[in-house]
Amino acid sequence: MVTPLFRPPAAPLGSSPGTVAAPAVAFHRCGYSYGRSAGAVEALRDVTLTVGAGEFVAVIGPSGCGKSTLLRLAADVLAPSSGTVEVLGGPPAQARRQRRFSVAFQDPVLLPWRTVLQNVELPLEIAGRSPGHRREMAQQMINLVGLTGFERALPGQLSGGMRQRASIARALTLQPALLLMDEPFGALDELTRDRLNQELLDVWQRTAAAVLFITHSIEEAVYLSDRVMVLTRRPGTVAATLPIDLPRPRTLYVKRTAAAFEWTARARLALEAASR
Amino acid sequence: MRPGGVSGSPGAGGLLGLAVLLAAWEAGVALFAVPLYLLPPPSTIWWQVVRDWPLLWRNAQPTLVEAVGGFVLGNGVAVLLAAVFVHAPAVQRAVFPVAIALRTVPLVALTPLLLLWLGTGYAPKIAIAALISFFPTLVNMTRGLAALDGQALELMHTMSASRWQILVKVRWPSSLPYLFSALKIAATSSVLGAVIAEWIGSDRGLGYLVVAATFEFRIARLWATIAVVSALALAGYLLVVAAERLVVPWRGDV
Repeated sequence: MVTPLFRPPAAPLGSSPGTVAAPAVAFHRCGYSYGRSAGAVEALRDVTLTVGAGEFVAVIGPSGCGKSTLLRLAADVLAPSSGTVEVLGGPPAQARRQRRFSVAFQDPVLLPWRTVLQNVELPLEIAGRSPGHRREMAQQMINLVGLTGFERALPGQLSGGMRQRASIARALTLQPALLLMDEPFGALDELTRDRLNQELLDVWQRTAAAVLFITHSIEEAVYLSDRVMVLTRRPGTVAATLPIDLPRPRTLYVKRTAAAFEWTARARLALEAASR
Repeated sequence: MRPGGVSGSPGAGGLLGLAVLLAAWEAGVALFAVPLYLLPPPSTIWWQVVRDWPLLWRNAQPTLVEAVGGFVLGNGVAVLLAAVFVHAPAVQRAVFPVAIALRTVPLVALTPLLLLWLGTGYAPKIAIAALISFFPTLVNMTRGLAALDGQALELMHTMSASRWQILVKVRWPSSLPYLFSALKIAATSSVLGAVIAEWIGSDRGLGYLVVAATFEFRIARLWATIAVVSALALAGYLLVVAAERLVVPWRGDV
């Protein structure tokens, strides 16, 4: 064996944040089991996956493959049974306490007694920001997601798509470096989903946040992301990585190009293989 | 129209039903010539209320104080205890069964004991009214504060919200519909609790008046007192319904 004279520098994990951008999320040989030893259900096994700073990564996989578990590990809702998770260069708990990431679920989880504005202000309120700053930031995000004019509406008065917009505005108010999205458009009709996909891309391009995006929809995954990760059936592990090289900024037109169809077909093949 | 309106307020339909009932009562008593001491017609009861009004009003005041005092005390303690339960499951496991066991003790049996312990003033009556309000609110509030769905809690966790922030900003508002359904029960039962307590050891109050009118065989006055007690309980109920409309405007939209 020949030992190389020069090794590439090791990943700058210990370096201070800011000097070199740490990956937004890094799962290293991550495993997770629900329940105790006897009747434990192994949801994830040996998952290694990174989301670079500012990168948009989608995760698809058969139902019950642990996609959502993966997101919950990054969100510090669950702790891995084996392996490590790093978020923005440190443990997930640290990133959470520093409020550097935020989460959007399939269910928008808006508080029904708060107006849209008050819901969007919630993370800022909890972080103890001043009312003036809260108002200004929340208004900005509401404008960004196209809910201008609905600030005083209660969630019960909004359509499903508008609620999801409010949920995304809320996730953006703290200007996070990372967005964790768990099938945020899963419950919407196709046209609304298309529109929100495009708006999400607009927002993403303007905020420079990294996104880890869990979805059922192959098309959505291909259209949105820089990379699509395909997970196998339970216990989920990475079966394939598809580097989607469609040009950006992506408009709905891009979705109908031959290249997009080809990526979608390849993703489907990979998913079918992973589901076996 | 709000979807909650049907169960929430008697509204116009309720008033109509009441009018029909009173008319049938009036007609039935006249038709079958029911003697006054068995069942006086509503018109007689009404005139008795008018005639006895100074007496009724004088005696309604202590009952009102006891009912409102018991309502505030019983519900207040129940809400605080429910908040403790949600944050300390060990306390809940220890205290909840005891509370439920206490509930099975009949209040009428408890009243003489409370008179013995607390004297003959307002205190024992407030205690009875409080006890009767306490249990439904404790049970409902414990459910309401714990009724948050998992995703809302996960969301608050990812925002690094403190337990206090979760309690004040999420648990408390989301439990209000539960609280109000308990308060609707408590609004009427606290009046009844105060009246029952007055039966046993009191020289004033509507409960006392019920006992006195019975002994003196003043049947019309007895019915007039019952009418005022019912009106008080109904007024309490309607006040709670109105407060719910104000405080929980999102009800039914979720």
